[in-house]
Amino acid sequence: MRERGRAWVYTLLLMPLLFIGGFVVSEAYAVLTYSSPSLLRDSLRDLTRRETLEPTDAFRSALAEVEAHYYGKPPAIDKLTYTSIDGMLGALEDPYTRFMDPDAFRRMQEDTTGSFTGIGALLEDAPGGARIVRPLPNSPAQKAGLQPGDIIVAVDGKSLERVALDEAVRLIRGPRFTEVKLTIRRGENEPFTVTLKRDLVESPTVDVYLEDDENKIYRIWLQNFSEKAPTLLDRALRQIKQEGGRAIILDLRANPGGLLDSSIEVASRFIPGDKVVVSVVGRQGLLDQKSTLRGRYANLDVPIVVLINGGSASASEIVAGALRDHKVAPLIGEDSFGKGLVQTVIPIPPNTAVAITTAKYLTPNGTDLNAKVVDGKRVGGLKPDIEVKNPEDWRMTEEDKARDKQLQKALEVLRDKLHATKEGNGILRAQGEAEVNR
Amino acid sequence: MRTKWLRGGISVLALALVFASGWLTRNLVANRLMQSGGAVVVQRDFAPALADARTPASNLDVSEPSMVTLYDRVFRLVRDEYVEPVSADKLTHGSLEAMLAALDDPRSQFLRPEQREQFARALNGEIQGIGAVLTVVKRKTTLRVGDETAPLEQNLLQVVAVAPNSPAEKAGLKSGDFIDAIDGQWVISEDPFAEIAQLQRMHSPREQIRQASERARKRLENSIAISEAIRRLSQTPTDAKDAKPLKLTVKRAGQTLEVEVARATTRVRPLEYRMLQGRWGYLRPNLLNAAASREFANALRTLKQGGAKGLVIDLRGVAVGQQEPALQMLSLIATKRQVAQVEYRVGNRYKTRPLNLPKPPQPANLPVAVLVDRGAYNVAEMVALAIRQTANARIFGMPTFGDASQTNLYQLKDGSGFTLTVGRYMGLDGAKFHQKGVQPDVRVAAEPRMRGQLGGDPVLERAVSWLQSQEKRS
Repeated sequence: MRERGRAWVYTLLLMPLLFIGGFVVSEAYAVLTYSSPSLLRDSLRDLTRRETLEPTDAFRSALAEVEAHYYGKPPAIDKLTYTSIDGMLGALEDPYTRFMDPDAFRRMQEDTTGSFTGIGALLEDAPGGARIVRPLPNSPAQKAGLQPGDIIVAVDGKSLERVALDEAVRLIRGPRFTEVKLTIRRGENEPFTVTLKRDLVESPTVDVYLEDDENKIYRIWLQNFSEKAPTLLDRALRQIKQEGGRAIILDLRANPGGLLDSSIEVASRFIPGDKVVVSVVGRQGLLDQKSTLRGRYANLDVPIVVLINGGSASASEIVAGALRDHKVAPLIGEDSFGKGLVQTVIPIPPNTAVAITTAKYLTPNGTDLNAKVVDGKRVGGLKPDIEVKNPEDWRMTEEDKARDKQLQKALEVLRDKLHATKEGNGILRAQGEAEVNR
Repeated sequence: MRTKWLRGGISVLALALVFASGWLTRNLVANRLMQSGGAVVVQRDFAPALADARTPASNLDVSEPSMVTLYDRVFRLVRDEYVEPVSADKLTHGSLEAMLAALDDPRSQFLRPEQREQFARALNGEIQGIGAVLTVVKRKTTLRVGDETAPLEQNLLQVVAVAPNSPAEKAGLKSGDFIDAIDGQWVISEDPFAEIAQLQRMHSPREQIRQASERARKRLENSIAISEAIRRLSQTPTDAKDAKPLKLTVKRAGQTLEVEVARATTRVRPLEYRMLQGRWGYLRPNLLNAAASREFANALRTLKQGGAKGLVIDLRGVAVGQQEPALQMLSLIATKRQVAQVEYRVGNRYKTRPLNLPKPPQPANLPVAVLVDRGAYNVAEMVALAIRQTANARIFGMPTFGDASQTNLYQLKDGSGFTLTVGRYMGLDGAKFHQKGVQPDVRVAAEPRMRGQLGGDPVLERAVSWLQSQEKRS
């Protein structure tokens, strides 16, 4: 009797255990075979998915449908995902917020570490290959004696006969200090071969031109905001002072920008006193404000104008906007490009990254530097104080200077100023010094 | 001893039952959760008809979950870090649009809520805009530059069929027309810069490249994307000032025509029918939807009671259709339960499965003449072929459009959705008609002056004379 009772107790004890057992085995079966929804997996998924996860849900479902049921052979899942992410970011209509797939991310890392270099020559398309427009000073191309007009017909023995220019450039570029063999055709002569060592090529950053000898008006063409730009600018300003320059045209046309620090340095040369150069505004409001740097003012007591056009972007716009807002110089030319955005590159392990526009630049007066796309057209950027358009096929070269209406306008404005303030120079200087000493 | 065994047996049975009830309880809870939605986003909306209906998509898993994680990371980063607040819906739409576009299949498309709504209305016979069914066809052609050629891919906007009494019909648009421009704006059908790429490969003179790029830019400036063109053609303007007719540049058989077409809502009657010469039942479904299927059953009964000796089913210009109602109609004609096959993909291989009627057929047992033309599209083509292969039937007219895609429509929570090609229809015998079209038994090219009227419709006349021959034989 007692034994039977014990058996019942065991059975009763076993019952809930077996119930749970059935539950667990069924769950395990569901997880392993995907035969029915899994409580465990789904509730875990829900737990990690408290916030609005609609996009990821929709994406996962659609991707799963495509993978399982689409009639055609779908692209590889990773490629399809990258495309979807591109589409997601594309909806922001901000060209700078972008996804970098493994290839793009690797390329970006190579680019910024500068491990890929060239031979230092400007090239253009030509029959049978790529023509050298001009070799840059101190470049491997110049050292090897290449001349303007030479045509590169083969790279490392590979003919450029059927190769487009950008592909030719890719063939010529490579890791620093590696060798590249170029086959050159010069005039009617038999082609010859030269071997060059690839190296970092420094493109010139600052050029100075005396545009009006009589009035001593100088033009400083600042081509980018590299690390060296401030030092080169100082050299240029010294030269202008020594030669008795009486007015300066700061030419920021076709300057795509560069380092933010360089732009603050450059602005500090022109703006007296402790002034805001640019504000950085993020989602939550003001993030940062960059001001002129102490002791960098160049003590300029001459009238200045700034030239801008559609090629003036980013750091150029910061400098131009600050000079205008602090009434240092008027802007002449065309609407600037309108790239006043700060990107943050966030790597996503193992091998991709996303560049997100996290903040925007505002000029001291609060002008949003970024252009927006309205009805397919870019609207925004800096508006010049005096709008002057150059012919569409105008080139920024010495030869085409005669057609540079923007430069002519700048000279006109400065000449007027020089004649109007002949006696005022002393006052200007006094003010400038007072501000610096404050 | 025996009772002990019995008791033991009962305990084991009871325990087994308990185990089973545990198992079932979990499944019940799981299924309940699944039905209540949870994270379910995608649902099949129409034309599922996959013989072996599968688990809904929310339980389907992606083969590489790391990709979903990646997507999620990027989404969260953008949501939290982007310089301005972002709309999650906008991001979702953008990504699904790109994903489906990457499949490079005109029948797999993302539908924004308003497009999805329009789609549903069209299936109900309410067609907006010019009143034509449009599709994008791909064509491989060659680009001629100087004396060299390069391959060029084109995406052309084509009229599949025009709805009866629609503005498109009144304007004289025809099935097969290519729409090249709208209000003078070029509908982008190819990469306008392809010529430049070729010129660069050929190392052409700079000036020539510059001119070509100038041309391409001019062309692009005055152009609209195909998707935008479709949107414009399939919208009925609500504003009176937008209501002026569109000027279309149309290519038809090598000729270029200018056509002016209005935009208005066209309501398509699901079915028209009548008795011809007191003996032939003429049925013309204008679309293949649920309403048409119901009316088809009623009309067939009336015609049979009226003494019909044969049937004419006119599928010319039938371009809007759904699989389920079409199968309902077929069940009144076909003599077999299996009416067609569907080819589908499993991993990297293709398999076929039968396409069966939802219930056993109740055929009318009358000879059937099916009338088709270029405007018979997709489900209508499948139906024509199925009738031919499962009943005493002949097909009259011209080859059909040739789109055998079996398409599913999915709906997302916010009212948007997407279509996805999930299979390809084939005849009962495995005959393929994709791109080739269903071939008529009796080819009649002449166009009707009065469609559905003896004396004004040569195809119909040929069909009726065949029906007469069938009557004599029996």
